[in-house]
Amino acid sequence: MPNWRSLKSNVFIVLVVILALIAIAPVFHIIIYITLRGLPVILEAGIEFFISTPAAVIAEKPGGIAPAIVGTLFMTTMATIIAVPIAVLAATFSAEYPNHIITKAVRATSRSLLEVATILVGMLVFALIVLPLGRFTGLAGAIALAIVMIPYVYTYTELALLSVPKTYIEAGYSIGLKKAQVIYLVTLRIARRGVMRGVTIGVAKAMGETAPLLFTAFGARNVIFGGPLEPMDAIPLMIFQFIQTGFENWNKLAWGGAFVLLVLYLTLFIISRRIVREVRV
Amino acid sequence: MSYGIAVEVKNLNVSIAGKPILKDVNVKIPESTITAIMGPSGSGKTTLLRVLNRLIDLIEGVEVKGSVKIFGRNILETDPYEVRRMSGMVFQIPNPFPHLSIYDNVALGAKINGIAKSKRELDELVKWALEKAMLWDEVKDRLRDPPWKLSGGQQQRLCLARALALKPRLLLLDEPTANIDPVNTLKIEEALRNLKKEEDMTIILVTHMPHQAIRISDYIIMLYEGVVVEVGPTEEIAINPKHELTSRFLRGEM
Ligand SMILES: Nc1ncnc2c1ncn2[C@@H]1O[C@H](COP(=O)(O)OP(=O)(O)O)[C@@H](O)[C@H]1O
Ligand SMILES: [Mg+2]
Repeated sequence: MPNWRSLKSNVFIVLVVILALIAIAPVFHIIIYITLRGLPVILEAGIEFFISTPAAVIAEKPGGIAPAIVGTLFMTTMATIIAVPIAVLAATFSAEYPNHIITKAVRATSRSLLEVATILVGMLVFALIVLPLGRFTGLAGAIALAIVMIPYVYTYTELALLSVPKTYIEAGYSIGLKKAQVIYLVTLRIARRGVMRGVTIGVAKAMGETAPLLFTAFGARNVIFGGPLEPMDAIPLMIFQFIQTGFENWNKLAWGGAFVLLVLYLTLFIISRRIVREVRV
Repeated sequence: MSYGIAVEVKNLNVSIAGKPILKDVNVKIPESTITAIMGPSGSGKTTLLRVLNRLIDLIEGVEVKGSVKIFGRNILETDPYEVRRMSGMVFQIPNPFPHLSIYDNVALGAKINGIAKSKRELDELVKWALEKAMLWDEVKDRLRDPPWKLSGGQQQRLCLARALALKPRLLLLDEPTANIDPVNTLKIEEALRNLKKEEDMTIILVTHMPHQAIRISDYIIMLYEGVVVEVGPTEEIAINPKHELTSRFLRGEM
């Protein structure tokens, strides 16, 4: 009888492990596949891969994806600078006034932004910024990415703020802190890991987006950086466009770019875990 | 040392969402004394304490009527942020700020309220507060540690130091020893006695340990369902409680 029971529990454990492996297998598959196809391209191209523009399709070597790397770094950074303050402020307001009409409106907007296809975000920015300006710009791309990012940062930040135990907020008031000081010196600090989680996921999301950039940054591959008011390339945009062509050189650049994106992701997650310590409550 | 009246509560009525919580409370608390507020759970002890530093304002739908004077000032007509700076508070469950070091837990209030002007003054104030909370010797070599490295009792004394750093004349404690061990309880009681004697502080302490009230308090306020049923000097009440509820409470039957 006891044997039968332990056999059952062993079978169960094995089953759970197998299911878990199946669940995460695609992640490993992607990582391994991209590395196998991307890394050799970069090793072959050498430093050129990071500092040159793409070569002609018939050239002997593929050249590099410097415009895409610079564009992705520029637009993601700009988007973060735009999105984080807006999202954190909105989340602070929502956490402070959960039943306010503005809170309800912000929550509804955020939720629909999370669900709407990001290409619509691109089209919105196209209508609001690209058309009036009369041109595709990196700035418009950054704004589109910021809009993609905001609901993630907002949602995670609000959640983190709401989970800060009330007693610390009361302690803050009891030593004479003003409302803004309680929020800034107590609540946000205790919630910092949650805020950072939102920022990380938002940045990751924005960094990998293609659709919002199609009608905004558009892509420009013959200069490495033309300035914020010029069309701009991005790694996912470049991958999306190059992988569809039949040219071997461009296919190679796309795979190399995918590998660079992968490395950027891993760096992002490692750094964000390192720079913000968890607050033990 | 003029032993005037520290706290004077007149016709205080508090309701939350229309439900009366405190009913016509009248008490006078002399300066430089320890007053114990006692009563069964839900009788309004915490509420009364939180009126005194206007932390009650944080609750939605609260209505406060009557007059509450602290050192002669009607605090119900004063900016709540200013009222909170007049007193220090220690809570039922130790709640040192988890994101701040031991030092910064004590220093934050003093810094924000401009109580210490220089780094040296601040260092001295932090040391003073930790000494008064009887914690200095245990933490002086690890002021930069986070508070979770301290035991629960030490954390509560850190909270006492945090409250003291405001240099308040009035100290409010809400069942400060309900969640800590006997040794730490006695240390906190000793700290309170010294604060009364050496710093002339007025101390109001919610407790539901009758022995604690008898050990350290000069006056007892007995609350029951939002009504003050008995108030007077501790010796008198301990020996000869007038109210049936008080005697049952002191015998530990509630
Ligand atoms: N935030 C609140 N909202 C609604 N009712 C409350 C709130 N806080 C306290 N009360 C009510 O007020 C009464 C007194 O509570 P409290 O002052 O905490 O009592 P005590 O500290 O003596 O246990 C209780 O009936 C409690 O339910
Ligand atoms: Mg209570």
